[in-house]
Amino acid sequence: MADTKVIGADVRQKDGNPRVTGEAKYYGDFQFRGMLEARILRSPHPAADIVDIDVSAAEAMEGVHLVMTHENFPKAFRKTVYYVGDLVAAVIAVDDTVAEEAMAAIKVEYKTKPFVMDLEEAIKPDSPQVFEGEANCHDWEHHAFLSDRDPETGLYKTKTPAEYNGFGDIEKGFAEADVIVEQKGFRYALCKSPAMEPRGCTARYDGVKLHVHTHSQGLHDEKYCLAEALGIGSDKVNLVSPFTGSSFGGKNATVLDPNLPSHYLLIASLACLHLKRPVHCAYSREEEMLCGWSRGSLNDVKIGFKKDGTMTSMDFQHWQEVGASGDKYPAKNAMLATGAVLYSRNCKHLRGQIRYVYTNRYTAVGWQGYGAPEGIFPVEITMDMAAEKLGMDPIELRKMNCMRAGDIDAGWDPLSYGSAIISSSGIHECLDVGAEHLDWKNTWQHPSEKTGRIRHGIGVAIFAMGAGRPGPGNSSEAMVKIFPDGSAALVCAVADIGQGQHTVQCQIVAEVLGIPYDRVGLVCADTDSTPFATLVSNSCGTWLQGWATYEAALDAKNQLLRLASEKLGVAPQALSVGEKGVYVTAEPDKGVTVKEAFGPIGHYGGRHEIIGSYVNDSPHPNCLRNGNKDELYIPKEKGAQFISLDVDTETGMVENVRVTMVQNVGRALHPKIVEGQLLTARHGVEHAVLGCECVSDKRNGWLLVPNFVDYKPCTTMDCSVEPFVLEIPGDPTHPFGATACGEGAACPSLAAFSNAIYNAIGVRLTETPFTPARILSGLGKIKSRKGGK
Amino acid sequence: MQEKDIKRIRLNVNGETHELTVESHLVLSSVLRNRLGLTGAKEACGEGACGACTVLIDGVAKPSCMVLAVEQEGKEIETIEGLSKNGELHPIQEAWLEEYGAQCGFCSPGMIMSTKGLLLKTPDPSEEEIKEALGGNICICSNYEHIINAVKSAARKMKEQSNG
Repeated sequence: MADTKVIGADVRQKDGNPRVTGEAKYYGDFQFRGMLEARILRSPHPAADIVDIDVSAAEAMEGVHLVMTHENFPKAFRKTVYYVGDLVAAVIAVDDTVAEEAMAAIKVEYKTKPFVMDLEEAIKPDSPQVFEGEANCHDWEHHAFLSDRDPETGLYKTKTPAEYNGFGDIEKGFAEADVIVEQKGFRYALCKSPAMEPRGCTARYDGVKLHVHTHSQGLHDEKYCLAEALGIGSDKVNLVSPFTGSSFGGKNATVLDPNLPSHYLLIASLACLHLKRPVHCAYSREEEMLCGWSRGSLNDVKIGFKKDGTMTSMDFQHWQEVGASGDKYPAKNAMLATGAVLYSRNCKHLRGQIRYVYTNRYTAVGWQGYGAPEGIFPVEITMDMAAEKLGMDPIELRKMNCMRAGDIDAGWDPLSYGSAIISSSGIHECLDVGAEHLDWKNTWQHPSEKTGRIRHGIGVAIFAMGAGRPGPGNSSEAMVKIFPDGSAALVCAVADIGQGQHTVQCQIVAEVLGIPYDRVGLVCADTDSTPFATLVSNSCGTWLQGWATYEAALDAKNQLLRLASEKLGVAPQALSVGEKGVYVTAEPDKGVTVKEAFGPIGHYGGRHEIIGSYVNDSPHPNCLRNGNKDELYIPKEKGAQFISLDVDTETGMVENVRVTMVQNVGRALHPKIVEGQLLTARHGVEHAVLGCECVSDKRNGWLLVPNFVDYKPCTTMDCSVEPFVLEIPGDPTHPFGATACGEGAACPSLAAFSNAIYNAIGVRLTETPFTPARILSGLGKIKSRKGGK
Repeated sequence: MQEKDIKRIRLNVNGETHELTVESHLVLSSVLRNRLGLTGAKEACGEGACGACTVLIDGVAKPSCMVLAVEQEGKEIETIEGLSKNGELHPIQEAWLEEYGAQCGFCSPGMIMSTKGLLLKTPDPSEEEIKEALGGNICICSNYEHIINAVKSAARKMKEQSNG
C-alpha cells in the first residue's frame, strides 16, 4: 500500500465544527426578508380527475399572495391525481397559519376512478390502469442477450436486444444441473428512506437570478432539471446547498418524476418568479412520509447446481413496484444483484427478466442500494435453501460460486455500455472474517437440532452492487487553487449527505499537494461557484469525484513546481511540495516558500493564485482494462453480512440482534468514515424485524404510517452492528485504491435475517417484514393470513 | 380568520433574557428558531418522536417541539448554541468530533443536548443508561455506535475537567 500521510488517517471532519455547534445551516435555517410560506393541497384520492376547483375564497383571504393550480400553473399541477398526496394546489401566504386556513377554503370536486394499491393486483390484466390506456406492467427497456463469448477475455462479442437480460442456454443449464432449487413469490415490502431533514427549499430572486436554497445529492443535475422545467436558461438559476440532512438516495430529486424536478423546487421557484418574493416550501413529516417510498418487489428464483455445488444456471424473474410513474431504475439495479454479478464465476446460463409495475402510490425513489437489496434478497435465500439441499455449508457454497476480480459483470445495461469487468472482489475474505468472528463452524447447527422456547440462529448473505458507471454520462469536475501563503482550496460540488465526501475529497487534495489537511479549504456551496459534480448516488463519489479532485490537485501541484523550478533552477521533477513550500527532494533544506515561488504579487504584477482543474468526462484510463474503451472496470461494493439473533417461539419476537458487517473497501481513505458507512447495516433491522413497512388502507389508499411513531426507525435500543473494514489492495479504479462503500450495507440484510430465522426455528420466510405474525404462522401456531400483518 | 391569542413572555435562553410577544399556540422550537434565530434545534418530526429539537429545560433534556413557549417563563433553557463558550468547544462537542458522532449532523444538536442532560444527572453512565437516555433521538445516518462512544468519551472528559 502506498505510503500516505493524510489518506488513511482519521482526520477531523472537514465541516465538523458547525455540525456540533448548531452553526451548520441547512436550507430550513435560512430566513429572508419578506419570505412567504407555501403549503401544498394534496389529493385525498388515489385516482381521480379534478372536475372543478374553486380557489376564489382562498384568494380573497388576507395574507394570501397566490393560489396555484393546474389552471394557472400547468407546469407544476395536473388535472388528474394518481396517488394519495398527489399535488392539487398550492397556497403562498404570509405564514403557515394563513396558508393552511386558505388551503381549507379551496373547494375541489373530484371524479374518482378505480385504483390499484398492490403489486400483485397491478400485474393482473384486468387491474385498473394507473395511466389510462397503458398497461401497468412493463419490461425493462434495456434487456439484451449476450453471445459469442471470447474464451480468452471472457467478453461477450454480440449483444442483441431481447425479452430478457441473459446469456447461454437456460434450458441446457438446467439440464446440466443435478440439483435444482426453486422458490416463487418472494415479496420485499415497500419501505421508506426516512431522512431526518424533511424535503423542501427556499427560492429567492435577486433581480437577475433565481437562487434556490435546498438539500441535494447532486446540485448541478438539479439545476439543469429545474431550469429546463421553468423554461429559463441555466445561467439564471443558482442552487445553494451548504448542508444536507441525510438522504440515502431519497433526495436524488431529479428522478422523482422523469419530467419534473422535485415538486417543492418547482412550486417555490414558480411562485418566487411570479411574486418576486422569497418563497419557502417545506414538507411536514407527514408529507415527507407520503413521498419517497422504495423497494416493493416480487420475485421468482430458480437455480441449478452440480452435485459438488457448482452453479450451472439461474432464472430470475423480477417485478418492481414504481408507484405512479416514477423512477424505474431500481428495476435495473435488481438485475445487477442477481447471478449476473454476484455469481458471475460459474453461472454460464442466465435469464433475468425484470419488469417495473405502476401502482397508485407515490412514485419510487432511490434508496441505499437502489434495487440491489430487492435482487439479493431472493437470490441469497435461494442459495441458503440450495446449501441445505446439497448438504453443504452455506459459506462454502457461496465461496465456490461468488465473483472474483476479472469476472464479467453481465448485468450491467449491456446495450448501453461496453463490457463491464469486476475490478476487485474479496468476498471470500469477508466470509472468512465474519465466520471466524461468529465462530460459525462451532456455532452453526441445523434447525432440527434446536429446542426450547428461545432459539438462537445465525445467517449469512453476500452482496455486490455496482458503484457508478465509468462510461458516458458520468462526469465530475474539480478545481484546486493554491494561494501564495501555501494554503489551498478545493472547489467542487460533491454533496456531503453525511457520508463524509467533503472530508475525503479534501484529504485527497492534501495528500497530492503534500500540505497539511488543515490547510485545505472547501468551496462547495452552490452551482454558481463550482464546476459540475457527479450526483452522489450509486456510491460513486469517492472514485468518480475522487479522480477529478486528484487530477485537479496534480495539475495545480505541477504548476507550482514549474514556478518553483524557475526560481530554484532545478527541474520540476526533482522538486517536492511540503508544509514549508517547495523544496529539492534530494536536499530538503534547499527550497522556496510558495510565496517566493509565486514571485511579486499585488500591485507589482505576478500571480495571485494557481488554478488546477480536471474534467472527468470519459472513463479515466485507470478504469479501462488494457486501455480498451470497451473493457470497463466497474468498481463494486462487495462483502458479507452475518446476523445473529434469538427467536421467541411463543411470541414470534426476534431479539438480541447482532449484525456483523464485513466489507472489502480496497483502501479506507478515512477509517472512521468508512466504519460509519458500514454501521448503516442496521437499516436492515428496521425492515426485517421492526416492521417498518408502507402500510396503506386498501379501501381508500391512505397511508397508515405517516409519522415516526407508526414508522419507527431503529434507535440506540434496537440492535448493535459490528463493522469489519477489510483493506484488500489491487483495485485499479481509484488513485489510492479505494473502492465504493456506502449502500452495500443494506443489500444483504433481509436475506441474512431470513436465513438466520430459518437457522433458529426452521421456518423459511420469503415475505418481509418478518413480523411475529409471520413467524408464528410459519411455526403453525396461528393461522396464516395473506399479508401477515 | 380567528383572532390571534398573543402573550408577552420573558424567555431565559442560554443565560440571556428575551422579552417577546408570541402566539400562545407556538411551541418552543418554533420560537427559538424563528424568533430568536437559534436554529441549532432542528424541526424533523414535530411530535416528539425523533429528538432533533432537544434542548435542556432546567437541566432536563426535552424535545422543544412538545412544549409551549408561553409555559417556559422562569425556566432556564439551554440550546446547542449555549454549549461552547468563547469559541471553546464543550467536551461533549469535542468528543463528538473525535468519535465521528456527527455524519450529516442534522440530529447532532439534539443528541448532544440529550447527552448533556444525561451527564448532568449521571456523570458516569453505563452503556445501557446511555442507550436509554439517547433512545428518543433518531439518527438515520446510523452511527449509533460512534455516538455511544462519543458519550462515553465526553463523560471521561467532563470528569477530568471537574477533577482538574
